[in-house]
Amino acid sequence: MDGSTNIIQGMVVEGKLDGGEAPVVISGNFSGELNAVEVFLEEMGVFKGTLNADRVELAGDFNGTLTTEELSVGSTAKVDGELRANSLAIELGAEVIGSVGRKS
Amino acid sequence: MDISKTKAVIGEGAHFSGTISNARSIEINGTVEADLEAEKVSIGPEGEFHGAIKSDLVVISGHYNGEMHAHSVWATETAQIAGEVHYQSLQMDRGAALNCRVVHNWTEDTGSSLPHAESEDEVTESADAETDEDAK
Repeated sequence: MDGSTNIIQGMVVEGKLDGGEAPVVISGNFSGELNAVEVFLEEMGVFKGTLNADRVELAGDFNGTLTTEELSVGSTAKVDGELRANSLAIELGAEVIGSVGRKS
Repeated sequence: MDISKTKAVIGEGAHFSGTISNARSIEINGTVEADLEAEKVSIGPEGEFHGAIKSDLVVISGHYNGEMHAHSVWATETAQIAGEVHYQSLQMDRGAALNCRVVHNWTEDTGSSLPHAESEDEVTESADAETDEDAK
């Protein structure tokens, strides 16, 4: 185990999660507040709430506020909310509704 | 990133407080404050769990504080348990530190099957009574 937090498909997690130094992988349902270094929202993953991280890769459903250094929004991602990133990439196919700005 | 892991894990440096549901098998290596209902819960050596656990199997190698209802509980040599543990089957390795109330016979399972059995008996008895009367 590399110490990463893995919220698997089917799980429903609600609350406040601090990922520590290791990556957080979400294939299930997370709502609440997430602070982490690196976050992967997988294709089946659903996130609702506030996300603060250094690096984020979105391939699933994101609804809320995201603040990060690096953000990569994949072709399967559906985003509704506020994205704040200093380095941003959005793939063809991604659905993005909301606002996009810089983190700092 | 290729994620082929299928096990639910709260990683070692992680802190979580809230609710976790629909986790069949989960490994806790970080600090969790939650109520959890699952089939298998494993609290790793660095893991800390505060809250209620209701599970078929619980393996504890770290800290647990709360009220636990489980069928099978295995406290390994690094386990530290406080609170209350309701169990059907308990194994405690040498070195495990239990500072809790330990209660055998988690009755919730037998409790739910007893009323069901009683009603089956009632149905059989009344059916027998009817056939007896018919015979007369």
